[in-house]
Amino acid sequence: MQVVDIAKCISCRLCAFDCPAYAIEMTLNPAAEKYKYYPVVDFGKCVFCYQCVRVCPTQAYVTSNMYNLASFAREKIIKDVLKKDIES
Amino acid sequence: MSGSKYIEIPIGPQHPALHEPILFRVKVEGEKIVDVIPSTGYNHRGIERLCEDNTFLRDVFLAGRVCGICNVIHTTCYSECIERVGNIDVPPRAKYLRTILNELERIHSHMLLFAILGELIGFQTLFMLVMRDRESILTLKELIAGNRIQADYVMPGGVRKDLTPEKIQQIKKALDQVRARIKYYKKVFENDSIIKKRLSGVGILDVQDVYRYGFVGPIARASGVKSDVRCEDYYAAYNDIPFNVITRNECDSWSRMMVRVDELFESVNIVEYAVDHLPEGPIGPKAMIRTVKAGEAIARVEAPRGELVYYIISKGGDKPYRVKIRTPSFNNILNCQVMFKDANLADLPAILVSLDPCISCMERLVVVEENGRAEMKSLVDLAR
Repeated sequence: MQVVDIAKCISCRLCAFDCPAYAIEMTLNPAAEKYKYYPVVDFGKCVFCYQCVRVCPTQAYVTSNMYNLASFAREKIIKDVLKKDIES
Repeated sequence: MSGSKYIEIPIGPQHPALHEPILFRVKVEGEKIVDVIPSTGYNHRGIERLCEDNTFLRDVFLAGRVCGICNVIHTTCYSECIERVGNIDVPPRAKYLRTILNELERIHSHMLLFAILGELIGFQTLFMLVMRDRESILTLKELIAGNRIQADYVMPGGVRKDLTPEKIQQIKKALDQVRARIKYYKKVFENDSIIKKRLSGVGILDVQDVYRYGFVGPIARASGVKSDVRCEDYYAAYNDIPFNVITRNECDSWSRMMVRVDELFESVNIVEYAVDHLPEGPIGPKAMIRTVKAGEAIARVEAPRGELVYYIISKGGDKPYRVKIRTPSFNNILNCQVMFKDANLADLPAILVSLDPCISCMERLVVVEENGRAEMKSLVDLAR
């Protein structure tokens, strides 16, 4: 699956525009100084076409070898980078 | 069944002999099949309508999901159509890369059919062996496109990934092994007594019926009709690459499988020729094609099952006005009753598998407004 590095994200929303499965949602990050919105990827909807990786002008998306998505809760497969940081 | 002298047996939509959701209402007299009525409508997904709501760029991925097995071919056809509407030039290297992926997909689609054939006629060893050899083709697809099945490789204006010389060496090495295995399978298909007894002389399709009902692809070629879109309507790099169109004259299930076996050799040769003569240059446009000018176009490509047609109308902007998809299985399955006349009931799976049924991509539904009430009917119902 693809991983987002929000330090590189410039909130341009190209990934959310192009996502054929409407899996990417731009979410407000009030703590950010300059670019207030960052992408949250719902891997329950994602079709793994990697169009987001391709269109990103700042290479904020990185493909990875991770594939273990199985979870008991639907919310767990929505990868919110900020929330994950809080949990861990 | 009172009032009729025939017994009607429903086969499907959930049945071990058919892996896809379609209902065949088979009328039999004793063991002989009198008539077969295919009934569709179990797997409609509304992709054509969905294409109108999404942008041109999103539709590329939607087109790839019409059919899982031939997804590269669907995206190739969609991209060719967009390029014809917008007069977009494709770099030669991208054309060759499209050809390579299209042919690899034809190889693994035909091999999957051989495996299913083995399973249906009670030849489980064939299933195991073919599936093992098909794996090397899927590995090649992953090497080139990044995914084993859903490649998402072709985009309007070009392709998404390039080939390196190391990958070309790997492709050549794997193709040599695959060719040796196909030679072995050809020997099996020609000499094995199970296959000969189950398939020879079964499901006869005359040349007249091919023209009358419009059968396409390997089914038409097995009845002696030389029809191949790769020669008739040039797309990708097929006008630069020499290859033969395979035809046979036996007109039965066995010849339909043998046409596919011989096509595998041609496909392997095409891929080898393409990687040897791969031109240098870019693989696509610098900017992604998001808007297409107003116009309409038809594109035809040769899918593993026959002629695939896309028709796109654009009124300018970033969304298509209409996307019409005509898949090869649509003709081949809806008109298949001519092959089942006077066949044994036990031969039904053997005939059906020789058609290479792909139900999910042929599914269409038409909504008829009558007295303010929306009624949903399948095309078979409307055709009656």
